[in-house]
Amino acid sequence: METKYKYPTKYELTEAISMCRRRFVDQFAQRKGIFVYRATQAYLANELSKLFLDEDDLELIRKNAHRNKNKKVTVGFVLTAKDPNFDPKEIIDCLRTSTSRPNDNLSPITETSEGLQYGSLEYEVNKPGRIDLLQNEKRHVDYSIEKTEDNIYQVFVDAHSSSDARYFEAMFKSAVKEEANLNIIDFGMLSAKHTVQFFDDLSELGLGERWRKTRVNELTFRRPVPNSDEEGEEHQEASDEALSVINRAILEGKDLRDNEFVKQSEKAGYRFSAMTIEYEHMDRPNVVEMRAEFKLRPEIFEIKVASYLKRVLEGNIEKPESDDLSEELEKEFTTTFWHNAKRVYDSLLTLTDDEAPVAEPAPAP
Amino acid sequence: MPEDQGVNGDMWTEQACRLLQKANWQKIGDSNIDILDTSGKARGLDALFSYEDGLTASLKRLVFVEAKSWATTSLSEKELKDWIDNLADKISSLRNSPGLLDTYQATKTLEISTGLIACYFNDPANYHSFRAKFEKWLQNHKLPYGHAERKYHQRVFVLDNGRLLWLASLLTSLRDWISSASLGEVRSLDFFYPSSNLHGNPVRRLRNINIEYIFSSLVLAKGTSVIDAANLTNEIDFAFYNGPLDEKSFERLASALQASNMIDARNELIIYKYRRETKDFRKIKPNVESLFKGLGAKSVSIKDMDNTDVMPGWVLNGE
Repeated sequence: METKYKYPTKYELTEAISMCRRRFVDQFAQRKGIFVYRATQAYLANELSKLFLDEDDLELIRKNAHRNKNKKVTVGFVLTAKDPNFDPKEIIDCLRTSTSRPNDNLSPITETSEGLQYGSLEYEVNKPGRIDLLQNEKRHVDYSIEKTEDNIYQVFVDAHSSSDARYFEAMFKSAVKEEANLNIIDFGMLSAKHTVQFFDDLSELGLGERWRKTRVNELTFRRPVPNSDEEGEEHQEASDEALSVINRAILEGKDLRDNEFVKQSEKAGYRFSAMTIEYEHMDRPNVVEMRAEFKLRPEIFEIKVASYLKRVLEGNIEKPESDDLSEELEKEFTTTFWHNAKRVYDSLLTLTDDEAPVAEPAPAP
Repeated sequence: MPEDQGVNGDMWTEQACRLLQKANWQKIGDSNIDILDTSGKARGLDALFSYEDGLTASLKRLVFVEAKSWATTSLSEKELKDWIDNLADKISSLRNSPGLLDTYQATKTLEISTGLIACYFNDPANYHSFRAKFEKWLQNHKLPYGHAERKYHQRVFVLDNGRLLWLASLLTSLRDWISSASLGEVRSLDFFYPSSNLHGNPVRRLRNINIEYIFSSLVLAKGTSVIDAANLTNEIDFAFYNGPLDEKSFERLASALQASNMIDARNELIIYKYRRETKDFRKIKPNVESLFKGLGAKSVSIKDMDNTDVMPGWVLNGE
C-alpha cells in the first residue's frame, strides 16, 4: 500500500535543510542538543539528515525552506469604482462563496475602526520536482484595501512571490468585472527615457527625509533579443565598476540619468527594469536595502525589502549585522516606497519625453 | 557548589556510564580521568566510550563523555555554554595527544570528533517547566561557522532528561522483550541501520545504538527468536517511535518504515510508542491500525513504552 505522505529520502532532506535560513538550521539542531563546530550549512544539513525526524520537525523544515526561498514582495493597485455603491467587501464575499474556485481559501474580510479592510488567501499549488517534501505547497497571500477618496480604493498585496500577487490580482479583477477600473504601475506605459527617470526619482523620494540614500547596489536593464523572431529578452546588470562610478556620483548629488553607463544602456535599446538601493537612517544605526522591479513573468511591478541591517561597533570597526524587521515596519517601508513609485509614475504619464516631472513624496515611515 | 559534587556527582557518572554500556557502547579506561593534551595540560574527563557508527561502513567513533547532575534552579545559560565549548576544546586539544593515543591504545583506530554531555536534572518535578528555558539557552549559543568544506568538525551532543529517559525506556523495552522468551526459546536483538543508496553503505545490524538514533524520533531494530526443539526461527521487526500521535505523523512513520525495509511479509512488526495517548488518538486508533495492517507485514501490534519522569531502577542500582 502506498502512503499519502512520504518520508523524505536522505537526499531530499539534505536539500530541504540546505534551503532553510542558516540561523534556523543552527537553532533547529541546537534545540535538540546537537552542536557542530565550524560547519558549513551543507555539512550541517548532511549531519541532520542522518536523523529520523518526526512530522513536527519535517513541517518546521518545510515551512522554513519555503519561506526562505520566497521572500516577501508587495504589489499594489488602485481601484476606481464606477458605481458610488461599490463595496470591495462584496467582491471578496462573492469570491469566497464562488464554486468555480474550489482550491482557493479566502478568509472573511476584517474591517478596522479606521476603515482598513484586510484578509488573506491560501491556495495550493502542485509543483513538479524531485523533492517530494516540498511539493503540494500551500501559498499564502495577505491583502489590505483602504478607501483613499470617494470611489477610490488602494489595494496592497503581500505575497511570497510575484506569481502569488498576480494570482490574487487576476482573481480580484475577474470578480470586479465592469464595476471598477484596476490601475497598476505599468512598464508598458513608460518610454525608455521615462523608466530611467522613474527609478531616478523613486530613489530620491525613497523612504522619506529620515532615510538618506547611500548606495545603488544593483541596476538591471532589459531589451528584446535583437535580430530574433522569437520572443525573449536580454538582461544586463550594472558591473561593479559601473556601480562604483554611479555611487561616487550619488555622493556628489548627481542623478542616474547623467551617468554614462545608464546613457549607453539606453542608447543600446535597453530599458531600466530593476534597482536595489540602500538607505541609512539619520539617527538610528539602521540600513535598509529596497528593491523595486518591473517583473516580466508575470508582468508586474513589485517592491521588497532586500535586507535590513544594523551597524554594530566591533572595536573601532563598524560591522553590519542582520537586524530583526517587524512586520509593521516592513509594511511601512514597502507601502511608502510603493506610494512614492505611484506618484512618480502618475506624474510621468502626464509628460512628454522632454519634460521633467515633479512628484510629491508620500508620508515617511 | 551547585553541581552535586563528590558522592552524588560520582554516582551520576556511574549511572550514566551504565546507561551507555547497556546501549552496548564500549567503555575505555576508568571513569574520572585526567589526560594530558598536546600542550601538556591535564584535561579532566568523566569517561571515554566507543561505538560503531552504523551509517558509515566500519567507522568506529570515540566519545568524550561528561556527566552532569544539576538542579534546574542552579544552572545558568553561561554555564551551559561553557560546558559545550569546553568539551569541544577538549576534543580538539586531545585528539592528537600522546596522552590519549598512547595511553589508551584502543583510541588509535577511532574517529575522534564526538563529545556527549549527559546532563541529568535531579529535580524532575521542575524539569518540564524548565525545558523551554533550557531549549532557548541551547539555541542561543552561537558557534563559529565554516566557510569552506573541512574534514574536521567537533560534534558536541547534549542529552538532558527528555532524551536520557527516552534512551532508558527504549533499552528497558528491549531487555523486557529478550527476557520474556518462553522455555526453550532464545531471543536476540540488533539495532537496524538501513542502507543509504546515496552513499552505497550496506545494511548494518549492530548490537550498539548510534548517537544519531538517540536524537531521532524513530529507532529501528530486528529481533530473532530461535526455538531449537521445533527447528523454528522467526524474525521480528521493531520500531521505537517518539513522535506526535496524529494520522499524518503515522502516515509519515509508515512511509519511513517502508523505505527502510522494515515491512516484511514474513515478519511480525511491533511498534513501540513513547508518547502517551490523548483523547484524539483514541479517535484515530482504528485508522492507524488499519494503515499499518495495510502495509503488508505478517502482523502488526502497537505497544506502549515506559514513559516516566525518573530513571528506571536498573540505571540507578545496576542489575
